[in-house]
Amino acid sequence: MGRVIYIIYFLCLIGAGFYMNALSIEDKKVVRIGVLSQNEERLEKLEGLKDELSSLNYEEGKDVVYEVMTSPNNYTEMDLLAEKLIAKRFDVLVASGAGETRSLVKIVEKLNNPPPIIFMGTLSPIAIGLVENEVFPETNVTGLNNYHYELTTKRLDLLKRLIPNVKNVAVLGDSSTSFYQGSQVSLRYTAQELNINLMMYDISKEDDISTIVNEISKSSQAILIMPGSLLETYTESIASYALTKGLPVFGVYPSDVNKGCIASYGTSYYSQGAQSAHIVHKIMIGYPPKTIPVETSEKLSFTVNLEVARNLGISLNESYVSFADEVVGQGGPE
Amino acid sequence: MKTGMMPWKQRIKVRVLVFGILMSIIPILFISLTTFNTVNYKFKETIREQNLQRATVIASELQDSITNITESLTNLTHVNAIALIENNNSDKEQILNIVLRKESYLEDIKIIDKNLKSLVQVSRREVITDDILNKKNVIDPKTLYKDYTVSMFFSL
Repeated sequence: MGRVIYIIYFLCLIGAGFYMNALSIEDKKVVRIGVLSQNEERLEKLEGLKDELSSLNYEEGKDVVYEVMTSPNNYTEMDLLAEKLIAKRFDVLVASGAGETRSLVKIVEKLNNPPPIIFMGTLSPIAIGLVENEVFPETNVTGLNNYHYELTTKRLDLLKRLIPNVKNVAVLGDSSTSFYQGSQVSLRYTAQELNINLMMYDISKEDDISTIVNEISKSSQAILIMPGSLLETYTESIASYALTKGLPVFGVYPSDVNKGCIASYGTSYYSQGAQSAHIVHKIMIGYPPKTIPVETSEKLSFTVNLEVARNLGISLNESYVSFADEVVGQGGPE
Repeated sequence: MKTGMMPWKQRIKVRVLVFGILMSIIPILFISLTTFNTVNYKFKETIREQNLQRATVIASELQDSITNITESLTNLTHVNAIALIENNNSDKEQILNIVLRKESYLEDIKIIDKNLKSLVQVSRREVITDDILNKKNVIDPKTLYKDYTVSMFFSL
């Protein structure tokens, strides 16, 4: 009888041990984050996300693990990657832009218990149908609005103010992006207000760049690049080819001036990722995504490259150069 | 009557046992319930206090931030009063743009006259041309204090 009691006692102890162990494992749960990116450039957003989560005490490998899937500008493959990513049942899904978010949303719509999806910067999420309300998203999708849709007209305005003599501007866009058609109306209205003749060009592959820039050089004095995954990848090629034709290019991201653009206005990939980290952190500590408002980019940077201006022989409006958050290179005559 | 013949409910041993169990369970239940309620109350109270402290810190940071922005705008009007009234619009815009660059939380800055007519405006996201400014140059008084508005009056 005594032996039986001892056995039961030891079994209880072992059971309690396993239970405590399970509890401690539960406490140290590693959060798995699946990241979908349409191009290599946007992976800088992931760097910002990782660094900021690290500053919030999430150690990579110990507290959080990332799995990244990219498909450089292949929209068909993006849907397949999104499906693969969702099948892996990550705790949080992070999309690096609008296209990626749409691919993920398309698939999770069919699920009963969809995982949270955080977008690390997309243009107006209401305009492209990601959320109906930015303050109360009421879906499993939330993230950061980088205002690229609204800022397109502001870039045209800044281009005109920076180079007041410019009359004819070519706008390079990618007609496969979700906001291309919508932005045409506002761009044309602003161009009219600014007394600019606008020419729209659609780029769908890299081979078109030289042909289109050649055509632009015959009629326009500057190029404005619209935001979009494809054009982000081609910015350097466009800017360097335009430079040979004597055309200044106005970019989107601060890093675009290092790729040969004369100026840019927007939020950097890195800071978009870093800001999104706080939304991911809220998900990790238990807030449902439907209660987390869509945030607005904290920092818009106006960046000017004086070296490009000097190489092109363009004198920039000093009043607006002083407005720049960052000035790259040395100005003055060559 | 033999003990073995008595119904088990009537046995003194059973009654003592049941009495003992009840007298130990009831106070324990009572004490547990009271402790649980107290802990629950204290826990909620602590969370409430922590949230209140956080909210107070955030409110104070917001207040500081707004005060800094207000002071910055006040200084702007003091230092550049003449330029903001007499210079051309381009010079005025340049001054306002510098403030807009420094104060990253400001979306727009405008100079309005006593009739609420916008004289100059610079914006972080919107395109403001002279024509646009002339088309919507008078502010509706109802919307004036809808957003955070700082009024600064300066005269020469």
